Amino acid sequence: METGEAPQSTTLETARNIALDKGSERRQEAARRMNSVFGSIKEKITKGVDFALGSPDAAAYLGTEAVKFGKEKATEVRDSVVEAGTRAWESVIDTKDRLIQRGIDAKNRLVARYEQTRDATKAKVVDLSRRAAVWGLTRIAEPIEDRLRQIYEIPANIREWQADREEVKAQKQETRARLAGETGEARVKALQEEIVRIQEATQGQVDTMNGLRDAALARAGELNDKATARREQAKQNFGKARVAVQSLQTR
Amino acid sequence: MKVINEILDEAIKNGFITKEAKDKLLGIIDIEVEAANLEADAMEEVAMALENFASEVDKAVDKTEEDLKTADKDLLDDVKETASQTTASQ
Repeated sequence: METGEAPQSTTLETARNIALDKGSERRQEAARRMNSVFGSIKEKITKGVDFALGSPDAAAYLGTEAVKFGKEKATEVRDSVVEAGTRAWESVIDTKDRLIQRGIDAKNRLVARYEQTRDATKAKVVDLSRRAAVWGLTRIAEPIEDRLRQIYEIPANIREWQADREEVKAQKQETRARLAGETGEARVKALQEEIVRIQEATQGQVDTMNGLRDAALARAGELNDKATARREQAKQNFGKARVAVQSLQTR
Repeated sequence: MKVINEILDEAIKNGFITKEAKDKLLGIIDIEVEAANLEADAMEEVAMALENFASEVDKAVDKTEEDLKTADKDLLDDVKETASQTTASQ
């Protein structure tokens, strides 16, 4: 019956393209938000150091009054700000580490689910093959298994993604030791550089993981599309044939 | 399809179909439909696994953003506290 609607495969194709476009927008938006948070962290360290130097702007930003500290006190305040910034840096290191662990867990669950469903499907193919043999159908399993091998192929970028968690504790100790070896402005600069480094590493990790996400959704859309086509093909090929055979008079 | 054609050729040649041949044809058709549905089910299960993976990655990235905002807020609290304590002690 003519419904006037777009063919299903075209509709699915459009839906997939919309999903991919949204994925791309989402990635850009996530990068923008992350940039903004890291910018905010860096700004707070700068304002804290400026406050130690007596800046009225920095004092207003921190909701307090500007004070002209003596040299020793100013150093003490700046060191406290650097210490707070270092704790923030450590917190980001932990955040990145948890992100990687969640990604690894998600991949492991995906692989386990693939294996589980593949084994269950394989058992169904064996059963189907046994029942098909009753009707004289041999070698039915082989072409199905060939097609299933392609279905159960994990998208390349997800399969090849090998994230390693870094040794967080050692990384923190090493950076703390390096910062402790610096004084004054050099120490502030070293901390800001560490924050830029962890920002780049975290953003890189998020971008990679969003790439895996997009590949997963694209493949899922493709498979759903193929599943619909496969059912439709069987319905067309065998639906009418079954009705015709059913109506045959036997002798 | 080869077995189906053989049965149909035999039926055409004889001008009739036996009950046995008819049952066989129906059985084969059902097997073929079942095979197609089995493949389609497998595709949909894999698609669902991939969608779950994508959803887990989404959650991981969202949680990362939340944690970064918390780190930023904690830093502001720390720096403000440093500022207020040192101002009060002057």
